[in-house]
Amino acid sequence: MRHRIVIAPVLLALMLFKACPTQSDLTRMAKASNELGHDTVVAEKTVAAFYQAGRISKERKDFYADKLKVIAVKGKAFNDLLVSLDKQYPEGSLPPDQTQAVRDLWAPLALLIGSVVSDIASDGMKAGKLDEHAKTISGVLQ
Amino acid sequence: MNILILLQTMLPVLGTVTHHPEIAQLATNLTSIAEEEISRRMSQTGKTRAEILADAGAAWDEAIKGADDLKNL
Repeated sequence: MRHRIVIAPVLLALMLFKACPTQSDLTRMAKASNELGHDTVVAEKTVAAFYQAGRISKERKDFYADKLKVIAVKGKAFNDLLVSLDKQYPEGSLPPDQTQAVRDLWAPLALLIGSVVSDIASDGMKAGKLDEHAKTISGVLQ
Repeated sequence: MNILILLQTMLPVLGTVTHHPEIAQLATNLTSIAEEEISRRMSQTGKTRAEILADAGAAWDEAIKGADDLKNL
């Protein structure tokens, strides 16, 4: 019985901690967004270098250009939302509806990044740490 | 990035051995991309969240322009 009394507040605290991102969670997402933006630029430069060296076709190069453009546009929108939340909630804690809004914007972008990372690997290329930084944001939003 | 570093090591050798200048050029380009990335990451310490988000916004803008440039290449 005594153990239950001790464990219950700890569990409650853990549940509250997981339910809304802390300031460090917002900071982690901001850092990951920054790295993802730069990783996307690296991916574009890498594809360009492989195309110029004749290692991939023009069709393949254009395929990557189209996909990376969508990632960049959606990534910019995701970052704009983080900027807005940073101003609205400077203490770093988000209410559940805002957390859900971030999840809704992130989910399709995460799928697209996973798809491009897989395609890039299948063509023998490696572009930054797109998958690693995408996992950081997915982890924060779980 | 590890594979990139391995490529940087292997490709110039391969390019020289096989006399394919485009492979040597690819190695040079990949080395340049990796060096820029390393330099950028070293300058990221000590920034506030607002500054990081501002950098991120600029990076995404560069990525949007880069995708257009890649399409027109």
